[in-house]
Amino acid sequence: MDLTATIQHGFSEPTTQESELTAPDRSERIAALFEQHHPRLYRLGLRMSGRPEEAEDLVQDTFVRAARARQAIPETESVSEAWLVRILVNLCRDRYRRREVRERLAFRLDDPADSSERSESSAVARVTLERALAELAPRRRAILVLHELEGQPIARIAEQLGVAAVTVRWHLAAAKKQLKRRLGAEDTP
Amino acid sequence: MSQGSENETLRRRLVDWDPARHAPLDEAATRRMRLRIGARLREPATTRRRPAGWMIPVAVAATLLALVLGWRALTPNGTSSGTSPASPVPSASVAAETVAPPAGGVGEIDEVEATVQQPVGVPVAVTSAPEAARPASVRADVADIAVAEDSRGPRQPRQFQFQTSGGTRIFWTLDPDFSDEALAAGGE
Repeated sequence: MDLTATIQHGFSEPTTQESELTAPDRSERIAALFEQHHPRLYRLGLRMSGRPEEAEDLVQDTFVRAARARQAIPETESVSEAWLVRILVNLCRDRYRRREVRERLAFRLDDPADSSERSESSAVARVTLERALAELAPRRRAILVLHELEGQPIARIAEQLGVAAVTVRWHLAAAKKQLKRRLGAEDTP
Repeated sequence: MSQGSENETLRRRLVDWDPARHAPLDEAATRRMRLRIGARLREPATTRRRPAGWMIPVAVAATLLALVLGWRALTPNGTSSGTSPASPVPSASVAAETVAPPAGGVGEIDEVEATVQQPVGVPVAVTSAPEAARPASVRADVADIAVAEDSRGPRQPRQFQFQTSGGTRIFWTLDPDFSDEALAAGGE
């Protein structure tokens, strides 16, 4: 496939420091992972960030980081998927630390695309929820998204994020509590 | 509202909000991501090279050295309580320059405020009143000293303010050309 070849070309470009990481077999593996997992990672990125363009950036960064990773790419599909999910969530954490959340929210509130397509009350509800979600720490938000929107069981989420199941349960409960409290405060006139 | 129905309401709001439902991935976005990943991986390795291991301790050491040198430049003799180089220390002139406290102000001292004016940027740290700095006619315990930092410039006079037990405030001004040793010698 031409587009896959584009990625492979990128991966196989020799560099001075990382030639062992850009070997053709590694390129093929990353390209195959992209084909297999990018829709799911895009959805996750979208649910983590709320913005299509940011979701694209997250997917790109995930595969770039995966390609440059010092450790070996996992062989089995389930492990490699979890590996990529973990990279994406870590990227979200990096961005969360760097970014001024309030600025982003202020921008989001003025986003005309949101209010034009849906009713005003629906748009307000979405913005309210998004504001509440943005206050969740990335890992907590990821757990909520993976469980509530992707329908993943606790054990699978724990495996993907590399944490204990009890940690996932704790974060899930805390995320719901935090959201309810926040939304309750917002909805109260 | 019960816990279960609250959870259900929250879930419904999340599903309604879900941006992946409203903005599914299209082929154009997939193509963009492929191209950008390929382009970024073709960037030269030098642009993403991390600093070598030896650079970090060298940078830390250089920073510390700069801080120490800067501190010493601001605080002569390596102390934070010394006098400024702009205030050389002739010990003999202190007593002559001393303005004696008014006679009516003599009494028991229960509080001393020492205002020390130093060149800009020089921190002042005086922890105790020189015993001999008190006027000879004033004999009492010194309860406290407050030292204020001043940024008005070098060679300002030091002014000691004594508060007597009767509430009288006495000001005792010294020539700027003094040292703590001179102050001690001249106050007696």
